[in-house]
Amino acid sequence: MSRAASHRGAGEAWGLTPFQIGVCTMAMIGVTAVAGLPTILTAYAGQEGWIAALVALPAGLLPLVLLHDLDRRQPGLTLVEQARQALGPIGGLVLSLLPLALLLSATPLGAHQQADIVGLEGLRHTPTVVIVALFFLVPLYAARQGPEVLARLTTLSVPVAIGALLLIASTSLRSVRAENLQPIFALGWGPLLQGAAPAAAWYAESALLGFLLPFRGRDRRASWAAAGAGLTIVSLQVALVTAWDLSIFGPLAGRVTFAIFQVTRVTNLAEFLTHMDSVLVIAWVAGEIARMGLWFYCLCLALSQCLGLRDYRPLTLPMAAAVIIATCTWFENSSQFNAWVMHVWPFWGLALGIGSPLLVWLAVVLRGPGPGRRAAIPAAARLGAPERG
Amino acid sequence: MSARIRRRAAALLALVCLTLVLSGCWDRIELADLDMVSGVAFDAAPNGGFRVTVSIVLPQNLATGGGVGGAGGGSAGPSEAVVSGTGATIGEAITAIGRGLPGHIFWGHTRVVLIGEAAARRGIQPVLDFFLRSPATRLATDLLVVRGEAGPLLQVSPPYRVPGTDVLYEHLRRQREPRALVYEVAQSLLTTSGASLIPEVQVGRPAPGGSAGGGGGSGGATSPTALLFTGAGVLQRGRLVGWLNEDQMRGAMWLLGTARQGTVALRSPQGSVSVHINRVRIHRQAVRLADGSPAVRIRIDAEDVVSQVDAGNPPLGDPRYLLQLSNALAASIRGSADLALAAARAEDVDFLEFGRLVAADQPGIWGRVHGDWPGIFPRLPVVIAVRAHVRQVGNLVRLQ
Repeated sequence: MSRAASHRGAGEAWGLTPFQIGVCTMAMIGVTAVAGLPTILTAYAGQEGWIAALVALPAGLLPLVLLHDLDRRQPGLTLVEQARQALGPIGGLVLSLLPLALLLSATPLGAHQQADIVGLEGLRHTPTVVIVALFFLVPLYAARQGPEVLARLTTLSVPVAIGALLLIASTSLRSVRAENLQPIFALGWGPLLQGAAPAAAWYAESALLGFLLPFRGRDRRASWAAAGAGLTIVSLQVALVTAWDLSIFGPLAGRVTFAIFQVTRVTNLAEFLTHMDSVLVIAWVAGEIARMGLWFYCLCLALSQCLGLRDYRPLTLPMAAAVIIATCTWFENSSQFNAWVMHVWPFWGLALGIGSPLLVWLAVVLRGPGPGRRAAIPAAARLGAPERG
Repeated sequence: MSARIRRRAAALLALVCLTLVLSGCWDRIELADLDMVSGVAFDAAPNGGFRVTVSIVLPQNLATGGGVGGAGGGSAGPSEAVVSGTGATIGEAITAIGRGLPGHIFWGHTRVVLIGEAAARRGIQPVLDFFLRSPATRLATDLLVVRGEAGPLLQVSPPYRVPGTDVLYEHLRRQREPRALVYEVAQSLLTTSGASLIPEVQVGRPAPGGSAGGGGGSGGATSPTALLFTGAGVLQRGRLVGWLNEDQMRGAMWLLGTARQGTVALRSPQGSVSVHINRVRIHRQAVRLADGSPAVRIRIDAEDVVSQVDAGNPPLGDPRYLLQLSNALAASIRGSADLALAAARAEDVDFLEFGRLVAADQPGIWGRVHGDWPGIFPRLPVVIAVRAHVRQVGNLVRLQ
């Protein structure tokens, strides 16, 4: 019995719909990408930052292709389960450390970015630990309810976030100067690829769909196509937001923090709608809560399966505390955070994002899933999902 | 008590506890505690410091109130309070202002930023830094430069609209004057030329030689408390290096492609006519000459309507006369554009953004010449083609 089937309620055919999978992909990768990437892309690739956002897309599609092939070979298993299936408990555990490292590093990293933005844009006097802890309440609760609740939460949040982006774009249209994007391809491939590297690291987070896609519905192809479509939309979104920032701020776009939030400071619709920053913050926080819920769920599920626990939910509270502490203590200041994201993350994220599914795929292809090994997976590790009924 | 009821009770208790934080935590500020700044002026203080003057809106007096410090009419008191502070830095000056105010200074509604001449000559980077860095400010706030001190302008209370900063803002909003927004001027610091124009404003004293130009005018007011746009300050690398008079400023608007509408007075032997420019299309292009050097072509198309016969009895029913008017208007536009170009060349400051244009349209040439741009710009061939069309004469062909 596949993992997705193992937690379905009696008599109920449950699974994430392709639409939910697409939206979850957008939330998992797109929310932090739209906020953080445009500045980084512009800092590296100048007025061609938006092209770099598109050039990096294959780096995100590669993990999806590998995960898709793994799902075809061993359907319904998470990345950790796939590794254990192929290499046994010890070898599988060693290989599982890769996606676990990605989750352990990127979850507090995303939370830190969120706390930075909220602290900078609105809650300047509120302690970071309070901001992070408050924002963790809903994701924590949703993560405990399992992927279906998370998917529903995400389908509510993401359209709000996209709507806010469109509103910001329409109200800042007057400030756009298309000549700021010219000339195109003038800087050559060097800066373009430099800019594409951080974007590629972001997109390679698609590897974490290896913890979500096992809960897909019956239509395997549609589910994987939806994940690919979601990632492509994220890439287009990042490219458009970067182009928008550039066309308004020109060379300044690479020097301001969180450029999309700076766009709200030039919005003006008929002298009536001008202060749109709160709209974007509200919509972004909604998307961020969904994103944090999904990441946190993947983190707890991966850890519980590595530890061989029967259920991931006992881990949620201690892991939430650990993530909050890591978020508040990892970086001394915003410059340290920015330096890490710009100079370390491209290598770290890309290596783990592509390396995790690639090594598991190689292990499965080379060793093959024998019936004996399949039985070696502890039944406990399959029970991470919520009880239904 | 069953486990289910206990769970529900715990959830209810959690919800009640959560309501405690809904009031806004540490960052809660009541609306009544905000001192909203409508305009701010930065002047140079001795020893490299700043004198910052803010105009704070008194909303309770806006409906019936007068001008600054109660100078205007109305019985409810002044609509604005003007407060100054001095410090070694802008931050210190603002802190000094804050000590004298009961609430929190709120920058979100600042409409205009005035910069005094001495502060502008020293460099406006600290002003730009303050606006770009603070999350509360708007980046689309208008910058204006003032000959002499900027702070006293916030004390001016024009008779026709309160608060006074509204007068400046409305002029700018209606595109009657060139605009220099905070983020645009900051961008210009990062370009090769590093040049930009900031409109100049004065109190009740028209600029010498100021007359109707290509993009309309604001002159004519003679009230001693009138705020007049009299030209523009030329900035290079964030420092004020020169001035443009009103004609040169209008010409710069044509060449920059920012002219939108305005009224131009034209004189001919048959009479004097004012035409209103309704539609403008400006196309700027950098081209490559046969010898591989750059050149700039600017094509200006203006469509107009006769708005006033000021003197004489011009034959507005005669199509040939309208053609003459069109040619005269084209010559007027061309004249002011030439003035601006000559000023840019004389000051050797590329405030017309030709360098940016060459970089965008001819990146190959730009890669070769951008290092020598300050030497190339004054000799850059610029071809200006102006076509004007007086399309209509209004609702009246002839009065006499």
